[in-house]
Amino acid sequence: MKLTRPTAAEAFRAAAIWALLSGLLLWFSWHTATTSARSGFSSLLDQQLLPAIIADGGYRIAQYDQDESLLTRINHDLQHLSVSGVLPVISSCSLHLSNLHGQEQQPAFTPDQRISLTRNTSEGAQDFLFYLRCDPDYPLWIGSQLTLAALATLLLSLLPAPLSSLQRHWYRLLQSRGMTAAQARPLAGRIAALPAPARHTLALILQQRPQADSAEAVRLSAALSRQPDPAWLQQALARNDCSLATALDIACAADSLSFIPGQQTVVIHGLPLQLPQTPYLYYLWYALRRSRGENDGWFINPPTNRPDRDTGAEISQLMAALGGHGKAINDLNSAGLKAKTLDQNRSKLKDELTSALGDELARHYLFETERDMTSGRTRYRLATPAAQINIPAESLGAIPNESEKHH
Amino acid sequence: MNLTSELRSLLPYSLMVAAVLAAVLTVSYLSTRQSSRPLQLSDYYSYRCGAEPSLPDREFRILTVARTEARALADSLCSNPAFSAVYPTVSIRWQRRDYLTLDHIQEQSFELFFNRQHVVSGIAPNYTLFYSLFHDSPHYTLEWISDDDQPQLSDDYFRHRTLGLLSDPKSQSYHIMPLDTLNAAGIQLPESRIIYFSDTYSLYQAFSSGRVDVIPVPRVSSSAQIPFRAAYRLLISDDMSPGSWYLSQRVSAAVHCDLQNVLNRYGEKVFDHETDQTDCR
Repeated sequence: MKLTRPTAAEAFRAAAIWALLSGLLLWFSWHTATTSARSGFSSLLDQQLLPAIIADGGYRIAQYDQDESLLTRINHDLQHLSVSGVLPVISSCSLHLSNLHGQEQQPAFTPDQRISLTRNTSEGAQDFLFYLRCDPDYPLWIGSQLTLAALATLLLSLLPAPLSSLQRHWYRLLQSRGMTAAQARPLAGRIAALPAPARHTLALILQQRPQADSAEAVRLSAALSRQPDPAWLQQALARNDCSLATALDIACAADSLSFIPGQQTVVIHGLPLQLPQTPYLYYLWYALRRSRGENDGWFINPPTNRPDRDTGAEISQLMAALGGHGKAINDLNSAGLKAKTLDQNRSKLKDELTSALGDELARHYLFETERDMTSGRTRYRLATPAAQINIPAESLGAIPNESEKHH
Repeated sequence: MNLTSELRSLLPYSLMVAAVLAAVLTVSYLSTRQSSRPLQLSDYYSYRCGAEPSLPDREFRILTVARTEARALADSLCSNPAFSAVYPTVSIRWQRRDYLTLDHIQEQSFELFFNRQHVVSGIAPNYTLFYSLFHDSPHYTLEWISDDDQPQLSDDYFRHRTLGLLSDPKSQSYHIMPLDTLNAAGIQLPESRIIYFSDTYSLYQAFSSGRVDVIPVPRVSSSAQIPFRAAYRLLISDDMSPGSWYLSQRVSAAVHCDLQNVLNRYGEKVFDHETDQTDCR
C-alpha cells in the first residue's frame, strides 16, 4: 500500500482512471435511470391511460364523436411527470402521444426514447406511440457519479499492484536469501526501478556474497556514480577481508599502480597487495623506469655471460635506501645485475599478482616482452602506462634523481 | 518469461479489479434506478360548469351518450338563474350506453341521464322507484345512403357493394337495425363485404373517401355532423328512438320547466328536429 507522496506519473494515472470511470458511470447511471423510467411509464400508460381511451371490449370510449381536443388534453397531462429513486438523477420527464384516432401532433420537446403500446380494438390492432424525454438533475447526477468514480479510483489504487516479471524475479531472489515477504516486496520494487547496470552490479554482489545484507547491497548499488568493473568487483568480493563498500570502491577505481612507502605494499586498482621484499623492490625499479620514460620503460636483459654492473649498482642503492635484504644487495654489488635475477623476480611477481588478481586482471600490471632487434636479446618492461603509475617521493628514500613529476 | 506464471500472477489482480468495478456498477445501478409515480390524468369525458362543488346535493349530474352539444347543455343550465339558484354546479358526462349500471340507478348517481327505454328496463326493472321518464327525444328516420346508385333491399345489390357499420353491437342505428333489416329481407352478406368502424367520424370519412359504398345514417336536413349530401337513399326505419331523458325523483319540481326547455333546444340541435313541444312557461 502506497502511503508515500504520489509521483506526477502516478497522479496523472489516477486522474486518467478517474476520468474514465466517471465517463463510464455517467453513461451507465443515465442509461439505468432512463431505462427504468421508461419501463415504469410504459406500465403506467398501459394501466392508466389506455383504458381511458380504449375500453376493455376494444371500443373507443367516445365513439360517436371525434374529440379533437382529446389528444391535446392527454398530452397536457403527460407533460410533467416525476420519478423517484435512491438518487433522483432525473429531475423530470415528459411524455407525448404522437397520434390518436388519426389525429397527429408533434412533441414540443426533442424525444430521447419511444414507448410503443398496442391495443386490440374492434378496428384491429392499434399502435400507440409515445415519445419520452427525461432531463437530468445535473448537479446531483454529475456530482454523485464523479464521487462514486473517485471512490472506485481510490479503491483501485489501494489494490496491491501485480509485480512485473523483473520485480518478481528479484522478489523471489530476496526471499531465497531469507527476507520476509513484507520486506522483500518493497525492496524488489526499488531494485526493479534501478538502471540495468546497477542491477547487474547488485546481482554480482549477491551472488558472490550469499551472507551479505541485501538491503545494504541495494543501497550501495543504487548510490554508485560510476559503473564498477565486473571483473574487479568479482575479484574484490572474493576476498573475505574486503567489505562490501570497499569492494565497490575498488571496482569503481581506475586502473592505477601505487607504491606505499615503507610497507612493501602496492595498491593496484585500489586493491592493496603486500609483496615479498625483493620482488617488491624490483617491481618498484621497473615502475620507476616506466614512469620516467627511460627508453619507454624497456630494459634489455643483460647477456648471460656479462651481468650489468651499472644497473646493478643503481638497483642496490635503491634497495639499500629502502631496507632491502642484504643478500640481494651483496649479489648485485659483487656480481652485478644478472638476467636470471630479473627473470626470477619477475616470475615471483607474476605468481603473487596472478594468485591475488587472476590472470586477466594481473596482466595489465605485469610485464611485456619483446625481442630487441639490435642485440638479439629479450627486453622487458612494466605493462602499466606511466600515467597510471603513482610513486610518491617518500617511497624512494634517498635516491638522488632529477625532479621528475610523479603522478 | 513463462506465460502461464505471468497470467497466474495477473489473475488475482484482474479479479480484484473486476470485483471493484462490479461493486461500483452495482451501487450505481441500485441507486439510479427510478420508479415512476402514478400519472395524474384528467377526466376526458366530462365537463363541469358553475360554482365549485361544495355540497353533494347542490350538484346537478347528467349522464349522456355523446359529446355533441354536451357542454352547451351544461352551460345553458349554469347560466339559467332560476336553475343555478337550486343547483349552482352542473356536470355532464358522456359515455357509451353500457356505462349505466344498476348501482347508478339505485344510488341515483345522476340527477339526469339519457338512454334507451329497453336498456333502462333491462338494467333495473324497478327503475321507477328512483327515476321517471322525463323527456322523450324526437324520433328520427334511418336511411341507407349511397353516392353511386340507388340502394335496393336485394341480395343482388348488397352482394356487390361494401357496407360500412359501427363495430358496437349495441348501436341501434349503425349496427343492429341495419343488420336486422338485411336479415329480415333474407340477405346474407359475407363478412368481407362489411367494414366495421370504431366511431361515426371514421365511418363518415370512409364513406367520403369511397372506401365503403353504402352506410346507414339518420336523416338530417342539414347537420355539421354529417358533412355531405348523399345522392341516393333507401329507408331503413322512420321511427327510430334515440332514447329518453330520465330524471331522478329527488330533483325538485321547481326546476322541471327550465330543464324541459333546455332539453328541447338540445334535441333540436342534436337531432336537427323542429320540436313540437312548446316551452312550458
